[in-house]
Amino acid sequence: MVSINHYLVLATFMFLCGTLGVLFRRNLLLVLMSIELMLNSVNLVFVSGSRLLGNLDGQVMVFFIITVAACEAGVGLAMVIALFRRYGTVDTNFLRILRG
Amino acid sequence: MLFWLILFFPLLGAFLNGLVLRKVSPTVSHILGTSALIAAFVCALLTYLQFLAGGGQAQVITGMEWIEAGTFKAPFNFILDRLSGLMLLIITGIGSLIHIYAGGYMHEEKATYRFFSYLNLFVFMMLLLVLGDNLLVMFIGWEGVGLCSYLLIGYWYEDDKNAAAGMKAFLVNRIGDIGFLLGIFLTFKYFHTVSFSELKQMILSAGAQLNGEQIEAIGWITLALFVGACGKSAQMPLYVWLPDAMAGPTPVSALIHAATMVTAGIYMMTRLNFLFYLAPTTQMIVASVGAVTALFAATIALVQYDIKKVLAYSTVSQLGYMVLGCGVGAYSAGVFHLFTHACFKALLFLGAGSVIVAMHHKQDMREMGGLRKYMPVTHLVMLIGVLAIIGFPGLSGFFSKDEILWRAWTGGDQYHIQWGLGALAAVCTSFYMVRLLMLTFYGKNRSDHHTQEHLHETSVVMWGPLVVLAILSAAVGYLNVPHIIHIPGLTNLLFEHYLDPVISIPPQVAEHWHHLHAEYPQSLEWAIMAVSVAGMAISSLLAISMYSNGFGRIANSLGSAFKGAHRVLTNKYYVDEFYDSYIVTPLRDMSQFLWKVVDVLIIDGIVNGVGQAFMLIGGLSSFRMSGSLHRHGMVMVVGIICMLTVLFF
Amino acid sequence: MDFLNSHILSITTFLPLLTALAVLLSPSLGTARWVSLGGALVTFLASLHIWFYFDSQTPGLQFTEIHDWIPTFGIRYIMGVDGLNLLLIVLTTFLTPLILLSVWNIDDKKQKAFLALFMTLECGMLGSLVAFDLVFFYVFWEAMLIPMYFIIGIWGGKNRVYATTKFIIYTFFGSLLMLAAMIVLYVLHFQQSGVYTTNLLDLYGTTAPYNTQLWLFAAFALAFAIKVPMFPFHTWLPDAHTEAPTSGSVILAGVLLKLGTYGLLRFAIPLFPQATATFAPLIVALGVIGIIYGALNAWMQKDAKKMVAYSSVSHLGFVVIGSIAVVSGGAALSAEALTGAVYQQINHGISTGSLFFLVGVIYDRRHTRLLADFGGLAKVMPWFAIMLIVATLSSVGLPGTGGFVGEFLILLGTFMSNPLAGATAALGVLLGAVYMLTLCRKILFGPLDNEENKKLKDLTPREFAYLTPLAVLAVVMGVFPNLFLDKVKPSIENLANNFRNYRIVAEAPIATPYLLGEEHKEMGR
Repeated sequence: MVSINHYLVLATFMFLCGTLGVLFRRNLLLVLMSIELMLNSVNLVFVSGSRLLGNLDGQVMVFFIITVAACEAGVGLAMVIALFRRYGTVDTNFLRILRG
Repeated sequence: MLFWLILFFPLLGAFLNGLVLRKVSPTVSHILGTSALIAAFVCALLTYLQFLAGGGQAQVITGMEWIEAGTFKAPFNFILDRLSGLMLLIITGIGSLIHIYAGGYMHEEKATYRFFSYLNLFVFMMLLLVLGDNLLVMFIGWEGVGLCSYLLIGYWYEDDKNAAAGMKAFLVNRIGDIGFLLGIFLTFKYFHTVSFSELKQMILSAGAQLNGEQIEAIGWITLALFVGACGKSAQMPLYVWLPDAMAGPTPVSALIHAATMVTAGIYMMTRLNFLFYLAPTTQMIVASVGAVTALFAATIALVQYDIKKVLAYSTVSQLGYMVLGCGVGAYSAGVFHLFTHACFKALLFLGAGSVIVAMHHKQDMREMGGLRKYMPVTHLVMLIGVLAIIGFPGLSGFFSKDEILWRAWTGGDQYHIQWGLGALAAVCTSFYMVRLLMLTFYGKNRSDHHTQEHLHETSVVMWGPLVVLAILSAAVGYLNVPHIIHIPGLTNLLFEHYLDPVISIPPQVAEHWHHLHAEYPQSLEWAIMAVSVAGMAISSLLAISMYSNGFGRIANSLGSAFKGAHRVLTNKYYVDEFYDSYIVTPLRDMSQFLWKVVDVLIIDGIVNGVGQAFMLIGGLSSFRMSGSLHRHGMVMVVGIICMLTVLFF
Repeated sequence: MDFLNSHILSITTFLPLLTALAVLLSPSLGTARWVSLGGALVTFLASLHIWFYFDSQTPGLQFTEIHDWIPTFGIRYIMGVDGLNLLLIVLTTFLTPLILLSVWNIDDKKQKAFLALFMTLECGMLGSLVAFDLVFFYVFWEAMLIPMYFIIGIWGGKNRVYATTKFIIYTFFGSLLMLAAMIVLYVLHFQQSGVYTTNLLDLYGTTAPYNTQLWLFAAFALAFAIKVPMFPFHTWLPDAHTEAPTSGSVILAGVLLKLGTYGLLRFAIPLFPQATATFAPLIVALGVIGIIYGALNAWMQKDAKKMVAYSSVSHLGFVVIGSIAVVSGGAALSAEALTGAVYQQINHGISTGSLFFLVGVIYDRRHTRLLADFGGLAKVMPWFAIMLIVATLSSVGLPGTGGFVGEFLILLGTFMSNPLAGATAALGVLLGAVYMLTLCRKILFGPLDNEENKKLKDLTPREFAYLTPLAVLAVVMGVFPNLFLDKVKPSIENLANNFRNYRIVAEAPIATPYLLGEEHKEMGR
């Protein structure tokens, strides 16, 4: 029997993976993928919650998140390409425009 | 209708010459400008005759509304009475003569449209000044003539000196104008009107009991207005612009800086005589300033070499007499002197202009001499002019100047000093005028060969007006023959009573003045007259003996004997230098300080300092910003974990 | 006609914005120029319609338009005209076409954007003049800054970024204080009446406690003082003027600064009368200092444009003291001074506008504005000399020019209210002549000794086209002031006499035709 806890543990694991990916990967493309992973972990929590509570609110939320994630991926990738064209690299160690 | 044409013609002339017909030859400009003025003169004459035929009652001619705000009202109303009628004739009449003359004087110029446009505009403004029925319309003329004077002094603007002289004239006049403005403000504040006729009615009507505040205000009003008069009529301490104003073409000096504009102050005081009568302190100040100016300027004129400068200081001095006349309440004497002075001073200036043209624009009398041979007509008219101004018995100056001195003596014991100053100034006047005549027309000619060859009498365009002016200078004095000299047929012509409807002594002080006007012994009047004539004769003879042949031995030895005095006089008492180093330079330094230090350093420094302070604070707080995505992310995650920890445990 | 009368203000305000769009869409710069000029002229005609149909007998608000905008907060779209803003509206629409003519020959690829920005600016200025709702007003007030920011920042001189940043931050700082005060007023009004509204006509009835009034007045007055600019908040002005292109300077001096003094009259004084009476001596003192100080500073300038900029500080000092001359023991404002202040706003727009134009004319030819580089120009440019002298005379307030009428009335009223202030301010008349005649003398007179100046050409027909109306108007305003003053008289007297308890009512939008005869009245309706 797979209980709700299994899903939550998996989601937590996925979220941690995503977070660590955002924090430690130097390639912007991989950073973006890690963010996707974090979003998907949240989706998993919503879906399982929806199943547990027996209503569709969670499912609806997931659709929203998928849509937003798609947009975010589009904009993000476009920015990555723009950055690559401008600076010739997508390595975050070199992209430090915000330095004070 | 006729009345409006007087104003219309000069304005039209100015407009056509100045803005429309700019490409025409000087002759056309001249004819246009002159005919505009002659037309105005004819209209003025007809209007005046009509006015006299109609009984000579003052009438207010209503024009359009001008400024109206709150309770303040100043319409374009004009006043036609004996005073403004006389001024009309002087301005347009002498103006016409000078316009005619100017064509000859300016014949070397390539384009004179500007010149005649300014001159016509000047006449228009002057007419507004004398015709306006309220202080504000008068003020248009007041500043308008100042503008024209500015433009005409700087007519040859390519010489920076002329431009500077024009500016000086305008600015010094503006100082006076501020006084005039304050006078208007005070008048409105305490009497709620600025109209002459309403003001006069208010002051004179027996029922109007002025309260103490108003009486005190009248003192301030008259004082403020007198400051204005000092500026325009070149009195101490604001006279400094007039000698410099001689940088303009000579016809301008004759018209504006001798005959008409500079008399505006006297006109204004006469117009408001009912106020001045109520302000004895102001009258005392007026009389003193006039007398001091008369003597002060006359002493400077004693040693000047520039023929126009002598005449300029002489004008300042003569204006001093008129102001003295107003100060002692002898307005009709002041106006009469204004009238005769307009004739003979215009004559003298224009004569000097002829000399200057003949001398190829040299004005130094040390290079002249003996011109009698070359310019007989000019010599003759100048002789008449000089005799008139020094008060030679029988010519106009004798009657008008002596009237003022007589009235100063009889104006009360407190005015004896002023009389003394005036009489002394008269002595100086005869000296420097005879000196001018001697140095210019008598003795040997001292000019260089080239100039000497070209010396000749001027054209009829120039000497014609001179002859007319000479006749006037000789004759107008008989309009006001003192009653101790009985000339059959002339007793009714007394100018003294001509202005009676204008000069109105308020009831409050009437008794005092009637008391003063009580009969004086005839012997006293004869005595005063004798003193004047004797002084005139002695100083004239002295001048003749000193300068009959250029700078004689006596002149030179006197000059070296009183070296210090001579130097002070030659340098005009260092007044210009004084103003320069004690007023202009400190003001300039202060402005420089205000700009460089207060504005740029302090005020702008504070403004920019505030901006920079924010930049600094921002800079301080931003030094932890590495710009590394990972570090920022890490801080964020740690922060969230901390928050969650706090929240849950 | 009915439609026109009831919507004329919206038309006048937003026509420039439409024109800006059309300019952006037009295919070439040539078309864009004609489109912008056409739009500006039609706007001018529309404002003339307001002018002629304006009923000069009533102090009430005319051509009123009221629509709901954000009903939840009681924010509405309210426009109206009365005597206080009528002249300024016409001045704005009158100056804009002239400015468009002055930039006709500028031929760079950003020029289209310039024209569009300029028309947007006109919309902003008109909007803030006609708005009678606080929020509505505030939107325009801030919107106006944006085009000006770009005009100085893109088309300005060497130091333009510094100047434009200073301009915008300084002005914005003041505006924010005003916004805060507006919100306080809004809440206060709600507490007193239970209604949320930003309608200015209603807010006039709000009586804030005295201490609150002081703060609110200070916030409003500071915003306007910066805009005017009053001493000592003036230092952005010389920088902005020196760096701005000629067109920018003209509109800045001509209209933008007047919004400060207009704001004083429209908002600060009638909304907070008690505070006005308290602050009046301070403001008059600052105004008088500004007059003298600005004049002395102007005298020292070596750059012609900077000189004119400092002269604005001095001249607007007159407007400020005229706006706030309290008489009858604080019960009323001097109607004379107030009339003068309203009139002088227009005069200053005309005379300083043409001075900036004229400096622009010689700058175009010589690419320098230093007085030392000129001299004797009257010989080669006689018409230029005439125009400059007319503008100068109007600026120094010579009788017969509009400047005199304004300055005289202001000084008269100030003198009645406070003789010392009036007399001191009168010194400004003298100092004004000092620096303006110095300017004239250094540019026009003296020897023509610079080789480059000898080749200068006199005014072109295009330059005549935009200078002549200003010169003519300067004289017309001096000789026939009643043409203008008649229109504004009731409004001014209402404000002057009732500023302690100021109310204006919105009239029916349709007014009787002004120029048409009796028989045409029906048609007019």
